[in-house]
Amino acid sequence: MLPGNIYRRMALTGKVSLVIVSIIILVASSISVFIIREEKKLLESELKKRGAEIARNLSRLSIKPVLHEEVWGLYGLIKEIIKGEDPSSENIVAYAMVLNRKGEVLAHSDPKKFRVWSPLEKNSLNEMAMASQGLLIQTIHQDVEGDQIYDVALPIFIDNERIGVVRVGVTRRYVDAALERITLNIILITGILGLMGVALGVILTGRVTRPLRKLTDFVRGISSGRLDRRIEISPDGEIGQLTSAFNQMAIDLDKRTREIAESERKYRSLFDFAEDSMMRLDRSGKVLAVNKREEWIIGYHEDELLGKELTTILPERYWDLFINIFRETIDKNKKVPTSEIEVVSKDGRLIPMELDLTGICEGDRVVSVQIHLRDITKRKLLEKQVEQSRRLSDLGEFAGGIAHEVRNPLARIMMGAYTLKEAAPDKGERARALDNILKGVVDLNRFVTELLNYTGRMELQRDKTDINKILDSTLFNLTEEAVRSRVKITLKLDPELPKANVDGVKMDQVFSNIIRNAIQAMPDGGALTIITDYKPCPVDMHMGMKGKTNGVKPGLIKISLSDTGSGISKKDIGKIFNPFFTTRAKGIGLGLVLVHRIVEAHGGKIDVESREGEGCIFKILLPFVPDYQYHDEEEVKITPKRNSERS
Amino acid sequence: MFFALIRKGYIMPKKFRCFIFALTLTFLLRADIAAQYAVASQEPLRIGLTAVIVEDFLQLNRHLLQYVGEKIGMPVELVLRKSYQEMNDMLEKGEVDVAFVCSPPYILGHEKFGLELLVVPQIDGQPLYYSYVVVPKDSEAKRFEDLRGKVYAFSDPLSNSGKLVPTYFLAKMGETPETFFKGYIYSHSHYNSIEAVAVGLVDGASVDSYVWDLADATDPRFTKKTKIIEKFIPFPFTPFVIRKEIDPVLKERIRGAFLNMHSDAKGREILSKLRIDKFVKVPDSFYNPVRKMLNFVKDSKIQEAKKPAGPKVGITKSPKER
Ligand SMILES: Nc1ncnc2c1ncn2[C@@H]1O[C@H](COP(=O)(O)OP(=O)(O)OP(=O)(O)O)[C@@H](O)[C@H]1O
Ligand SMILES: [Mg+2]
Repeated sequence: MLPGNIYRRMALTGKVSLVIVSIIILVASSISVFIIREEKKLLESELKKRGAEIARNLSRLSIKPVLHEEVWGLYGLIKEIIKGEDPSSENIVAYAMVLNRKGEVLAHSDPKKFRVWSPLEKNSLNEMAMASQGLLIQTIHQDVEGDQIYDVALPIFIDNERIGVVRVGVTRRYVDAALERITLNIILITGILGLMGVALGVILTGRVTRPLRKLTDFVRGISSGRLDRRIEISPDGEIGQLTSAFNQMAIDLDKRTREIAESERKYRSLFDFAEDSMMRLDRSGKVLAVNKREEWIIGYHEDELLGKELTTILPERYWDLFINIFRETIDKNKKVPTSEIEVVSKDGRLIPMELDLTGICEGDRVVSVQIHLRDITKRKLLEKQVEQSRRLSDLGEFAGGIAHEVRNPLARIMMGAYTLKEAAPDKGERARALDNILKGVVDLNRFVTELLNYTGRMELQRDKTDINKILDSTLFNLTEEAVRSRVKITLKLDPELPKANVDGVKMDQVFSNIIRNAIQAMPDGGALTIITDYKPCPVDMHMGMKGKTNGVKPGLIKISLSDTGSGISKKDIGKIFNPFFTTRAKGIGLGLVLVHRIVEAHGGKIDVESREGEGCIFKILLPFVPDYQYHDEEEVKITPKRNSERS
Repeated sequence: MFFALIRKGYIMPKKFRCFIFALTLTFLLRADIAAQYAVASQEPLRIGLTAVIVEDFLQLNRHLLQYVGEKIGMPVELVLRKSYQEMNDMLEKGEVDVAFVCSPPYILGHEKFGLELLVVPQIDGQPLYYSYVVVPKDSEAKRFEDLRGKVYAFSDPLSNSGKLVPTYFLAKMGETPETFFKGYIYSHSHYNSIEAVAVGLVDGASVDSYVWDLADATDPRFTKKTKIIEKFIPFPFTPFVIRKEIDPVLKERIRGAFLNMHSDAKGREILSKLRIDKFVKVPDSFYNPVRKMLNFVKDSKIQEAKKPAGPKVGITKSPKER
């Protein structure tokens, strides 16, 4: 039968059908074996009876012809037996013969082979037949066509004297054919019964398996996440119990799934709104999750990075580094020290960041890696600025030294040249040369003065100063230049602007440099707008401050100067505060450097915004601290200083 | 019981079937003729035929006799017997009036009880025929002498062509059928002899040339499986004979009916089917050649009989003793 494991894997329907069919086949085959055996016996005995009957008739009719050796008559009798009256009936007679008392053939159905008056072949069958005293039936196992034959021998007696023997061979062919037919019919009936058995099996098991199938569908639904479904409780019994158990399971699963989803959400929001950009990588380095911070800083949406490698956002030069760290983390679960890298944002910017990897374990194995990216743009900028300041002050000291040394000789050259000019009043070549020398010396002197301004130690003469007034006087000094360039100046000055504690001369330098640059940027005319404003600080800045403030809160004085000039290109905007950066042919590139130094010396901050071709706006913020009744002198110094460091 | 067997087809010797059929026909025929000549209410004319020559052409012969009966205005009764000997016995006892018998039975009957010749059929312009020696088609025998030691078939012990002629030729060779053949059988009909040769029951047979030719023309099933290796010289044909005691007027009327057959359409049709030209009258001396043969054989048999016991006449011969 079927191998056990196939049977075990079969569906119930198949099993039941198989069992039913097996039973049917078993019963049918045992019955049919019995029937066929009985039928065979019956048919065989019938055949023998018919053979005997034919032999008896032949022997009765043969008495006289045998006595008279009427060969022709005997041949006629045999011919009739062989031919049979009805051609459609099955002729069971394979052969017939009449033998005389000596065992010679008197007539045979095959006269050519068995000649008249010839003895038969000597064999036990023929001898047994010849010796028979009554009906003798022997079985010949082979004849020409391969069918079994019953040889019926019957002696011919006349008055108890044996005068010959009649022999008739009847073939089993029709018995075998009939048995074959019966077997075929039984197989057919068994087949039909078997089919009916299968149908019955299908119907019967259908009743049982329908609820089971429902359950299966239900469980499949659960695996595909449809937890809200329930099955209707089928009537009591095992299936009913099973169904309610499944329903309970679904309810529990649903609850648990919700809980998990809730904790997942909590975790997710922690993850998303952490200070750092965070990403989760699988062991192969593919992105599993990305938090919101990343999206804000680097610009990629989570969907854009999922399944990608981190190299998408990493410049090529950091790949080796990153892979090393990643390997260390994933293979050895080692905490690698924080490294500084740069990340390419979606819009192509390079963002300096701190990189930290944390292995997430399941048991001893690191299954994923959490990546922390901390934006350090501000720190980097600060570092850069500090570095710049340091470099500038070094340069300043050096240049200051030179300037100091250069000034006295310059004065002497100027004096000398002047004296020579006075002494030789002709207007010849010599006088022209002396003029040139003087002009050069004046230019050189200005350069040296500016250099000294820039490099020199910034010593502020602070005083209560009205910024508005300073602006007024600065503009007054520059009126001529402004008119020449047809620049229209608008002033929006805050009349409530508190008097700031600044160096008035230095602030004039600041404004004049900025305004001059603006006028120079508008050679064909334009508009210059100057706005002053005061912004009180947020409340928490009062902390640590006690005493009266004369109604004015500490805050920031804001001065903005905007023009409609050429503007500054994007690539230049970062450089304008660098020493010797200039785009003008006659410029030195120290104007804004000085501006920057003065503002910073005041603890203020200067910003520039510009759009090329549309003009630019300089914003100056100066800290304002009202006069207090201080409890402690130290605090006074600390507060503004901190501000200046921050910006 | 017997009829049940017949119906089943287990046993039904052809001879029996034909016999029963012939009897049935005879009764029917009689009834017909009796109805036709009811007023006359005469004794019917009994005409005898033997199986030896007519069995398989019974229908044709029945037509012939019916025709004769119509011509002479008498009911005709057909009497069939298996052998010439039986027919001769019946003629002698007056149980048959007219019969179609072979020349030896006529000669014997003429000697014994004054049997008279009525008419004789003329075939191919002569009232003569041959005795064929027939062997299976695949036989190696080329002459009658080649059949020595074989099994042979004669038709009837009193047949001219089927027994007397070959026996005569054997006698001339100093042999008898018993010495020459391994064994022989009587088939009781020339047609049967042809079949016996065709199926291989016997190695050869002596057959009436008229029967062989007629069979070959009408039903060559068996003749085509045989071949003729010997044609013995022509002999006077088988005659219709009549009892001496029959009224001479009636005798002449019957003879007239036969002799004039070929002059009317119906008669001609029957004759042509029987492949007979016409019937002719011959004198008794016409059969002298047969007489000579009979005597020759008889003499040689008497000589032979002096040594061992001679064979009995009238029953089928036993084969040579071995
Ligand atoms: N308002 C402005 N509009 C356009 N460009 C400006 C403006 N202010 C400054 N710039 C740019 O900044 C550069 C630096 O200015 P800065 O004042 O430091 O030097 P300068 O004006 O070129 O020379 P100088 O030392 O004589 O002032 C200028 O060369 C100019 O390109
Ligand atoms: Mg300038």
